[in-house]
Amino acid sequence: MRRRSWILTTVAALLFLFIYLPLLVVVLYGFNGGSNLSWPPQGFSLRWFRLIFGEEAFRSGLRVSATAALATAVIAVVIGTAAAFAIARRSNRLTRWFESGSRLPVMLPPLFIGIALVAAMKTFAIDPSMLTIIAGHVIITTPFVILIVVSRLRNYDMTVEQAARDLGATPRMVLRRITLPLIAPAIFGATVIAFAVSFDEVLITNFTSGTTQTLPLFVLSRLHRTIDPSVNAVATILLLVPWVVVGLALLWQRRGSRRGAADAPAETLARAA
Amino acid sequence: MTATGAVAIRDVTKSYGRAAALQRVDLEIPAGSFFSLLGPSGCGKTTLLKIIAGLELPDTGVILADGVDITARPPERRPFNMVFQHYALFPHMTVADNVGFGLTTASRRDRPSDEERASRIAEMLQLVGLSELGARYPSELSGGQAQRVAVARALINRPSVLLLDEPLSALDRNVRFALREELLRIHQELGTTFVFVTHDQDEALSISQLVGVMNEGALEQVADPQTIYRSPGTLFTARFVGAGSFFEGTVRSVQGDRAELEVAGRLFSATDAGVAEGGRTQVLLRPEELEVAPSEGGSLRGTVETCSFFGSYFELLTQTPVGPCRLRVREPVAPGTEIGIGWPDRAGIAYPAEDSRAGVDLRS
Repeated sequence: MRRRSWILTTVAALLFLFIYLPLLVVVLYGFNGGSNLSWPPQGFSLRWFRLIFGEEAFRSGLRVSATAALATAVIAVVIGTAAAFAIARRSNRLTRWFESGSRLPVMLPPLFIGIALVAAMKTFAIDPSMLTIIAGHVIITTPFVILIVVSRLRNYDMTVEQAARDLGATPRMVLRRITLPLIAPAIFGATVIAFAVSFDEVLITNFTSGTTQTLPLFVLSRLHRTIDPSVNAVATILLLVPWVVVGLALLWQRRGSRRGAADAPAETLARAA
Repeated sequence: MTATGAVAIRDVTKSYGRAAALQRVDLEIPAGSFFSLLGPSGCGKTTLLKIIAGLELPDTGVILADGVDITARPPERRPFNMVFQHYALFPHMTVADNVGFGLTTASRRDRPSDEERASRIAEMLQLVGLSELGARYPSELSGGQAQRVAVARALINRPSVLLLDEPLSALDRNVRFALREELLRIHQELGTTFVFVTHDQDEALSISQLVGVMNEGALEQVADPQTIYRSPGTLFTARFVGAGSFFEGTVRSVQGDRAELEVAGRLFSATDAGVAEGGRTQVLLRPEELEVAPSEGGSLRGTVETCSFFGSYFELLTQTPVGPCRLRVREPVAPGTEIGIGWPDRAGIAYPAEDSRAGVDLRS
């Protein structure tokens, strides 16, 4: 027994190292004082961050990615929440079909979606722009929103809405004062996930962006030319932005769970992160 | 208190798909009464309550509140409020906000001021004995406390009728008993009509002034608890309410409300509940009406199978030639003992025997 648990611990530890060591190395070199990638890093400095932030291409990439991620999150959450209500509240053949259909983009290879979008843009003579980037991101993030919000709507006690109606609330009041506050954590979690997915999406963006460069695309193009330590700084930023956003969201939900807000979306969040 | 809160249900039918939930239900609930709808699960009692509340629409029939037709009114425009089985408190609001919710839903002009709202909330919390807990959230309450909050929340708009959907069935036994008495006290204090749905016959009998027994979407009997227990109108009510033994026999003759019966070769008379001369009958005898008679006498002979202790009495389950028989005694009797079972003349109630469906559990 003891022997087996010892082996399990070792395997788990190795796996953990395998997953997180590269991340750690990248972050370490992001703060490296020296100018080459030799071990060990030579002192702590922010010079690569300064260098990177001094570049217009990086700043514009960050701006583009942040804008696209924000817009994607908002659009996907509005569409996805509306769809989730239809799916969770009306069960007929159409909504069941729609529910499975809405999961499809998650299972399709992004490359396929990218090629399809290029074909569609050619057909309808749409030029690549920020709008087409956002459209591509909305396609792949909306299914996550639907999944999260539907599961929240399904496992909550509908009688609280009946109780509110019974106490004189109109259907609109019920939505505003009961339903939305109760599913708010799920909607918030869905927003965060949509933001995080959009922020570092690169495959589909590659097809829809044209000359606009998002942050991940900037990193790729830079890697083509040179490998210098500044890439580590950019990678660190790409890693930390979604993590910080998700971490803040988790904290916010911990605080909210005292009031009986569901833990389900928090779990979904933690898994997605 | 003026006498408002009378509810009348006229010829109400409701079905879900092909399954009939209610079949032509007619019911008068007097103003200010504590009325229970009693029945097994699936008998339609909750459906009827939801139709009264306006949460479901009947297929046919009308609902009258103090003589006014309210069938088409949505729930928020009915002078009724509801207490749900699983409390249905708003988890994101404090106890005080839950209780005060009903005062915030009227149009802005008709809404009470903040001071009035605060004082009404305090009044309601005091009524249910939770004055200290206004700042808590529902997740921090016990089941009993949560249901008290639900009662306070439902009463704050001073409804003429309070509808209670199995409000005690999710609670522990002790809490259930305490809350039962509390509901009775609140009912006496306010004079509001209470319509109380339950599947627990003890509960229905102990707190109601009137009980409506439901079975398969129809009302079997509406009467006060004593009548329901002492003279159940139908075999279903007799079986569902209270413990009892049912003996199968033959009807010799019927005179007025008396029927002369033959059970296991013995002749005796019982109250007639619709039997026909020469027909088969099932006779109800309550355990407290039966007594152990000297083994030579008595009307039946039985062998004691089990003897259970209930504090103030022992209950014997005996096997007799006409089926199992329960009786209550003061002293324990050892299983295996053969005893005589006797009962006063006219104590039994004779029902027409049901077909095989009901007979199975007796003969087996």
